[in-house]
Amino acid sequence: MRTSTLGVGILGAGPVTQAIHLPTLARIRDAFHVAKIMDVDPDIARSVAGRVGAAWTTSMDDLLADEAVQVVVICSPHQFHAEQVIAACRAGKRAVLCEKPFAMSQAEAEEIAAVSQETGVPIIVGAMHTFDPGWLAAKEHWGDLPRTAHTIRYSIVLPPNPRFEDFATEVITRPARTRQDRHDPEVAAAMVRGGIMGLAIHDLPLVRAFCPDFTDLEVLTCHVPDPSGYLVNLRIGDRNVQVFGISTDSWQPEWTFEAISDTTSLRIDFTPSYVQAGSATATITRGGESAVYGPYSANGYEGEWRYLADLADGKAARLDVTELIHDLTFALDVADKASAAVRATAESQATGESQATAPQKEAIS
Amino acid sequence: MTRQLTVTSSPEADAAGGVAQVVASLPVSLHPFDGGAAAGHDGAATGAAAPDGGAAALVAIAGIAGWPEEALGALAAGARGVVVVSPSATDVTALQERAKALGVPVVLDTEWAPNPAVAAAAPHFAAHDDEESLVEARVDAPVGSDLDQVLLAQLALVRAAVGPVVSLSPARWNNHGYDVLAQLASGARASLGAILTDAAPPQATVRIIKPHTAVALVLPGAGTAAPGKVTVSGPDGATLLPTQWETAHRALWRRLHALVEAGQSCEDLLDFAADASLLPALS
Repeated sequence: MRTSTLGVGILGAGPVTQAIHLPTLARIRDAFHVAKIMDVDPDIARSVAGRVGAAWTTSMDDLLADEAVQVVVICSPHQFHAEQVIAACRAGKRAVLCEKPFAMSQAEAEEIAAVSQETGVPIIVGAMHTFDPGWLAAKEHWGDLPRTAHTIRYSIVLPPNPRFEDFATEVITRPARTRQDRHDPEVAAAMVRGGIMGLAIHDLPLVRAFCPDFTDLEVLTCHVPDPSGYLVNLRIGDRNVQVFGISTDSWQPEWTFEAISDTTSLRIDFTPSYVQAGSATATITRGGESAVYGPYSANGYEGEWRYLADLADGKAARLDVTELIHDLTFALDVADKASAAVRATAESQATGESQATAPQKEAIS
Repeated sequence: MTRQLTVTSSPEADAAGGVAQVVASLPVSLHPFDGGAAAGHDGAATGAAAPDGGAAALVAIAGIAGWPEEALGALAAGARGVVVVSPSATDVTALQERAKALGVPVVLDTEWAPNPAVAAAAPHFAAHDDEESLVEARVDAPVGSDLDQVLLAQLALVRAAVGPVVSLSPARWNNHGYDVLAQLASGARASLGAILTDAAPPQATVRIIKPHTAVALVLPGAGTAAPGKVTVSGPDGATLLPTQWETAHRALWRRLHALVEAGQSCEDLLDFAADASLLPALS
């Protein structure tokens, strides 16, 4: 039985901190308390810290030097992640949770891995669906599907984030949303890259679990739907993979992951981000008979924090940092190739040429 | 008053199109043809209509190799309507011209398009079909299915639900399925996919998601009366349209019966020829 709780320090106090981590930490007060919150905006830092009775600061160094902080959570903009993860490790903290992506290049990821190894500080990435009890139940029951699946489909129909943030908390600051011209090649390329690294990245580790040859990756087509998103057809090894995301004001959210073989299909329906709405539901179908796992009461956010507590206490095995690097490099590969493909397609359409060459029919054996 | 029409079908058409079950479920409109032996069925006593004495009014044939010739034979024998079950890609010019000259409807019983939910969804899709739209269509079909056939049925579905496809470009095509990019006559883009698996029964979906609204259609296989589902959604919520518990096969035969009664022909063969003409772009 724990006699005292771990002090959490949070770098970045935007919507993710406000709507995800603070409500989640409120559910597991037996393990954690929020010790200090840092944001470059002092008003936001003060306000958000005030909600949970924590200290606040505008300085990362100040937060990392605070002995009341044992666990560091990084919720800052993507470009700061690598630097802050490394600084937290060097500060000798008990564990680090970094929101995805934990780096923006393979070089950064490898540097993080080296520092984690050197300092002994465990790192986890906030890929909440990999901690979702629905996903974990699927892993337990899917048998040989990762070896036999030939098709992977991953689809997100995403209503505006504020709809769900507002159910999770009362957010005091949000980044502005602007509508952009998706027909502009550079805008399209940026939309796809941002969409892959900001949204699709959530479940790319799940996709990778079904793609043993994940480095043999070819983007077959890429398209930006109206008003924004991505539709990417990929060949990953011998797998047929489609990754789709679209933002819409329409009411029905959808977040699904499917892996399909000749004889078995797995479908996972995830709950929307932000809300504490329980776990995903996993359905495994074989020969017309379905087994359903979940929904369970806790979601992946709670799962990752529970794991972090065990990790900090030395009760859980560390994640293999190599796997985290593979997840990141896989996501970067998808993002880079998809954005290049959509740029080429948009440029050829802008000049009135036919679409980028697509592969022809393969011989059907 | 509904006029009863006699029906005959080849064993292959019966097996693939569930003809006997359809006829049994429309006992006032349809009756099995007994070869003219029982005049009471085809004659004045019941009002059942056979064409020239010894032939059935309606003929069902399987869409296997040579089906246009078989259909021409049925027309020559005096058929007043023809159903082709799961037609394979082939030249239908001669059949189309002959059927048009005779004014006889030749209807195509493809896997998805005749489902009554498709017609229910069509006006909602039409309201979402413009050059900014992305139509997503997917079919889950049994392992070993002929992909040309799967795509033809999917093209018929997209045509009936949203609008005709005018061009195709393959993203992938292999023994596990396909993903094909398409453009509709409206200028809308489409992503057409097929996945071959025996894990679950066949199913087809079509959806358009717009910045503020969406329409989604989910269809079961043609042999089940489980309803197709049409969901229309916007910022204020989603509406499931009334469900119609009728197989696609039965809905198609009702349509044929209505065409014959009204003395009308149809455009199924022309549409089929247009869809089939797109397939060579994939090879």
